[in-house]
Amino acid sequence: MPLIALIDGDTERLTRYLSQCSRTSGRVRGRLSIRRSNYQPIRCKVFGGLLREEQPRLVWLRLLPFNFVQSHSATYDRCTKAREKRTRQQDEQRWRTAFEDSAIGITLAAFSGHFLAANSVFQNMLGYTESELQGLTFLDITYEDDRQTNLELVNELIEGKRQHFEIDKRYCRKDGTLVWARANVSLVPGTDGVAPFWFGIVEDITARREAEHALQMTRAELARVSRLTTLGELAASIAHEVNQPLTAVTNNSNACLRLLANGKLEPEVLRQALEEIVTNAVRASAVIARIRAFIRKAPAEKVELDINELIEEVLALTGHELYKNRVQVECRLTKPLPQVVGDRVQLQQVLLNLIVNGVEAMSTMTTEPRLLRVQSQFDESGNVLVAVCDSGSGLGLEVDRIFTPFFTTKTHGMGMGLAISRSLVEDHGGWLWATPNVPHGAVFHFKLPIAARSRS
Amino acid sequence: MTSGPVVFVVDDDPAVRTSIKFLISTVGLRVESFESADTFLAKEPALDEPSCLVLDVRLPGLSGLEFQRELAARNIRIPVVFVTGHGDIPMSVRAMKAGAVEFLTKPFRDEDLLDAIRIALARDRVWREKDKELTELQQRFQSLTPREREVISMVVSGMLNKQIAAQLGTAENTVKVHRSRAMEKMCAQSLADLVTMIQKLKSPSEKAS
Repeated sequence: MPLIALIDGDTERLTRYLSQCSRTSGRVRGRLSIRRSNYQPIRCKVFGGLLREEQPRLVWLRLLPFNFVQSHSATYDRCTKAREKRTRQQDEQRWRTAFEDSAIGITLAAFSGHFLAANSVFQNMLGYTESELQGLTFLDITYEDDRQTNLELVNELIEGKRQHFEIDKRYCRKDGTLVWARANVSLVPGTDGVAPFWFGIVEDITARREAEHALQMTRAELARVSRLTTLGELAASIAHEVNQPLTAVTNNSNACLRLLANGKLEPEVLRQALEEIVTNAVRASAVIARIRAFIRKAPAEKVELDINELIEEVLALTGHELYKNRVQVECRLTKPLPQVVGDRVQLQQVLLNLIVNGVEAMSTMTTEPRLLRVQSQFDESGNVLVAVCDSGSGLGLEVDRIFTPFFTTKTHGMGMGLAISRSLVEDHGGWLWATPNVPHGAVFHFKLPIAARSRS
Repeated sequence: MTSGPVVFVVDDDPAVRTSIKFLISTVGLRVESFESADTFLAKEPALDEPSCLVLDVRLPGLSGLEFQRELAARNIRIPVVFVTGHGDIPMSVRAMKAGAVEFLTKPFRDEDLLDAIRIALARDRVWREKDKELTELQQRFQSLTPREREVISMVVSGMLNKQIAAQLGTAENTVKVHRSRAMEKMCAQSLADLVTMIQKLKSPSEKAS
């Protein structure tokens, strides 16, 4: 319904008011009679003005009923204004409180990256005052190594590829120390009179990070202790592996010394003996190097490796244990096998645990043969599969519990071997599980993803 | 060196086997080596000369200790020197109880092995001499007439000629003749000598001690 249809009587006056409004920048005052839906006319005061000068022009009109104006106008104006102001103040107060008293760091930054505002949590987190922050950009206080990632995410936001981003990064505090934080950042688009700005919610996760790190260290240490325990059980086997070549070295040397004393040492005999000595010294040191690598306190180092090599090394290490328990070993290794990415020591530990477990499972068997089969293969979906099968009494009803820490069926076990093995395999993006063997015994399988390079 | 004492070495580790062979050869002994008990038994080396075994405890197939038992079961008598990569006490006790000369832990001192081999060969020599002596005694004993055997068994048990004659129902002089002829055939210088000989013949099992 056009406005003119509401006018009771003198419609000329409305047209005049409107043209006055659009012509001058000044205010228009006057009076009009409005027809209500029940045809009772209401006399109104009219205020008007120009809202926009450019075409199409916009004007505004405000109609106030006369009697209302007469009786309530003054009070109404006063009350409304006061209430609006109060509401605005309350709103602002509420936001200010939320901003200031938040348990989490909140910050606003200009599009350029310069901080506009920061709450006290954010200030305390970084050790800067708000005014100091206002002289800095978010990149200035981002740890060097994290800047690139941070910038990439910021660019994605600017390009509209995402609505917001989350980043775990390190900030440099004013005192030079680092603080780990999780920042949740969004870009608030600009409106009339307000430029676009960055809105960030920043949580200090240093403690969480430290706890995670401590947990990781504990887990690594536990794995190492478990390794040492297993090696302790294999002490005799290891001694044997070292003593064999040492025996060859001593015998060859002593034989040469005897011949030398008798003046009967011929150069050819000496040459052969020396070659034997060198070969066996190298053999002994290789065993020691393997053990050293196994007990060293070093962080996991993931490299591309051949699982078959690891299997053969671990079997060499456990050779005497297998012999002592009269276990026959059958190796069904697929060669060549694609490489996997992993930590040599950790994967050897898994193999060692599985092999030692298999041997122990068969050690109480009265019937022979005690057969340990070690298989390796790979599948279409890009995994290397390893299986260690024993012909022991099997897992029975315990199959669900064997991977639980401190669960053991052995008289002297810690019950950590399988739990640690599983977590080590999982840490390599793989999986470790057990199935029954036929006709009896157990099979422990694990699979590891093939290294990206071997995949192509 | 086709004659003289022989040392048999049984060890599955080629490097160790060769080195032991080399070491023993420096003292001028003959050495034959085998990689397992089974290959030794299959080859059945001649044991005509004083010999001994240098045996690794850990062997594929029959272990060293089982091999020692198997030899006894087959009545093959040969002194054994054990060598092992790691020796525990129960293992060495078992080996020594079963008659091993020595139980050496690898790596061993050369003198220890060579001394043990010397002792083992000496022991085998003694066994062989005792065997020879016993065989001779048995041959001499075989040459006695039944009557002479009867008489000397009574003599050895401490009976007087008179008592023997009474028991056999012959004259004392006849007993004396049997006795002196038996002494002569057995090459016994005295009664005590004869007693010892008869003792040896009676308990041939002691020959191995």
